[in-house]
Amino acid sequence: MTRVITVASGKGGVGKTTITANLGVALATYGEETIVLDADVAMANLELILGMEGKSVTLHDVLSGAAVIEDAIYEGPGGVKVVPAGISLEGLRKIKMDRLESALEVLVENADILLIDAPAGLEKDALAAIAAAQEMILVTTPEVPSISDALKTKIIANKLGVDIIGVVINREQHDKTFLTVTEIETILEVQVIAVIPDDPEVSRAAAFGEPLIIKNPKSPTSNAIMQLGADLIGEEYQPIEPDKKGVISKLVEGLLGRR
Amino acid sequence: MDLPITRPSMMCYADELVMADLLNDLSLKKHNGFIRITSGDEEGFILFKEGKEIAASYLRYSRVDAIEKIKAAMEDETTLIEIFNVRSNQIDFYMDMNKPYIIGSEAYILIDELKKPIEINEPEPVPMPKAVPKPKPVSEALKESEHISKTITDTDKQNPLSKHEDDPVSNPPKLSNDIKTSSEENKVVPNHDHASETETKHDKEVPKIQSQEPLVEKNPVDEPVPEKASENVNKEPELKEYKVKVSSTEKKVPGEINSTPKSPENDTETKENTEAPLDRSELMKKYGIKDIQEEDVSNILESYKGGSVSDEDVEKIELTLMNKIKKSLLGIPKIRGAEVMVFLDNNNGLTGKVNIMIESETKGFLSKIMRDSNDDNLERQIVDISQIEIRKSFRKYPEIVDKFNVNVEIS
Repeated sequence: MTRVITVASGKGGVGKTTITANLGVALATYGEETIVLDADVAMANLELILGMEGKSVTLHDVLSGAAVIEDAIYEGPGGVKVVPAGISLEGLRKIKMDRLESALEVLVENADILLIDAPAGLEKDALAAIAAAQEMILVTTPEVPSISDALKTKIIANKLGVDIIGVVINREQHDKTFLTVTEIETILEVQVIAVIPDDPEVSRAAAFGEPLIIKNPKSPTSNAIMQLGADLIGEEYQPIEPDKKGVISKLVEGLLGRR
Repeated sequence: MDLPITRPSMMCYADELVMADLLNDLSLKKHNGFIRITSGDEEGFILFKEGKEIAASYLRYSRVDAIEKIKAAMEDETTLIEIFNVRSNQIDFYMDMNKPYIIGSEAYILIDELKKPIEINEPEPVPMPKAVPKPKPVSEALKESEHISKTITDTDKQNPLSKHEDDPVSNPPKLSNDIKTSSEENKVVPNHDHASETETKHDKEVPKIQSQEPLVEKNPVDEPVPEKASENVNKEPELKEYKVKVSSTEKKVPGEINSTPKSPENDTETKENTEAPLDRSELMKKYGIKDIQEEDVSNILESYKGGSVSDEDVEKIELTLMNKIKKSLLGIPKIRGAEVMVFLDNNNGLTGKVNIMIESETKGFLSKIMRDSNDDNLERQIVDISQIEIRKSFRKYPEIVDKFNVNVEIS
């Protein structure tokens, strides 16, 4: 049976799309038939992170009745299938979120896991994305505003009958100025399933339009997301250790022509 | 704006403080730092140097536009306000980084307007004539508070917070002189209660920490004022006035300002916090996070069509629609009788089927055999009337009419 999982946050800018994109690729690398759907039709970013911008048919077209969902599915990095939202604002008014349901029915038939990147906030489009799923991953940063919004999202998701798998804390810094994992778990009353460190590599990868887990699989963030993916499907994951060679030894090796 | 987001020294929701009070207080404190205003997904900042507003941003807006947007955002009670401290020697650096947001003279007109309400509120305490001598409270308040603390409680003699806690109970007029707005006293009490709860938990050590907290808070990191504590007592009430409202978050402040000599004590306090089992309501209070109310949840869900119609609702809607359509149809002179049946399906979004059987006025033999154009017109009229009734019943989602199938049978 296909699992439909929405990745939501409440607050915008917490890294939800980055996590969705990379998690989708991670699940695909485990051999799961994964489709990532960018339901953020107003602020589509998923395609930028995956380097798939400029696709001719997008969710925009599907929701405005101009195309069928099958035409909006593209093969992405690592074998993940992607339904881009479409960045153009043209035709945004024509969009009917009601059509999302029928589009999802088709997607569910073609995947083991359907990941939905929900829009921020609790407007109709965000609620449609949350209600469409059976399960939800709540993404937050360890800051008060984002936890406050995550709490609202969690409450609404519960009301809509969506199971919350857990909380992913993004951009964790070893800094006492932010809320701790225990504090976040206590406030949200949801288990923390992954802690993703603050990593400059994430923005670097996004700039290259490449998912981080492919561009830099040894980074702590990649390892954390791969582990999250493994946990979701009950797989084992062995973290990839970063190179421990020092700069000088690398330089010497380089000078000697060894790689 | 590019600003360093660390642990805020204070946070609260817009309905918990008056913007004018906040701005005036920051100006009194000669605050170096910034405030962050978060309303939904939107974020705004005001940067302060020596208590003066020097830069502002709100989403893509800057300067006056940003101030206007912030002003509007403050009207939303769910807007979160956080105050961050920055060292005075760093302010110029952040000014340089955020040059496009530095505000000009025109913005100060707006800021002055924002600050005005406190002047309007000031006349409120005037009816308290007993509080005339202003120089007195320094000595008197100290003496009296000592006296009060001796007689009433056996805790916290030195704690300036406890003085304020006791004053409203024992000697309201004097406190109302120190604290300008009387309405805020009510809010002060529960927070103090909370403070006192923690005091009792931590026995002897905690009162010491708390006695220092207000000093740390009032003075930004760069101002080495602790020695002038006794002088500052005069000014304290005004500052505490709104801080007290968010007492739960105040305890975070000393932890942040580590450059002051109080940091070791603060460390012990944070250690105690981490060791102690976490109580959710206390944490929520501490960070100023609110649970969403049941009413708000239903309002949000109402905006979303899915899930808002229960099976019980479906039956009611069917019955209401049946009656409404029938009543409207019987208004057509050609119709002698009408039977309407409505079947709704709520499995995959709300859809419906309306079956209408009409008994029209008696016709001649020929017209009974041959369906004439009048019947087509009548059928169209009946479908239109039914759709109008459906639209009227679902005013918020008139497009739902497309999901209704109307069948008409005329006999």
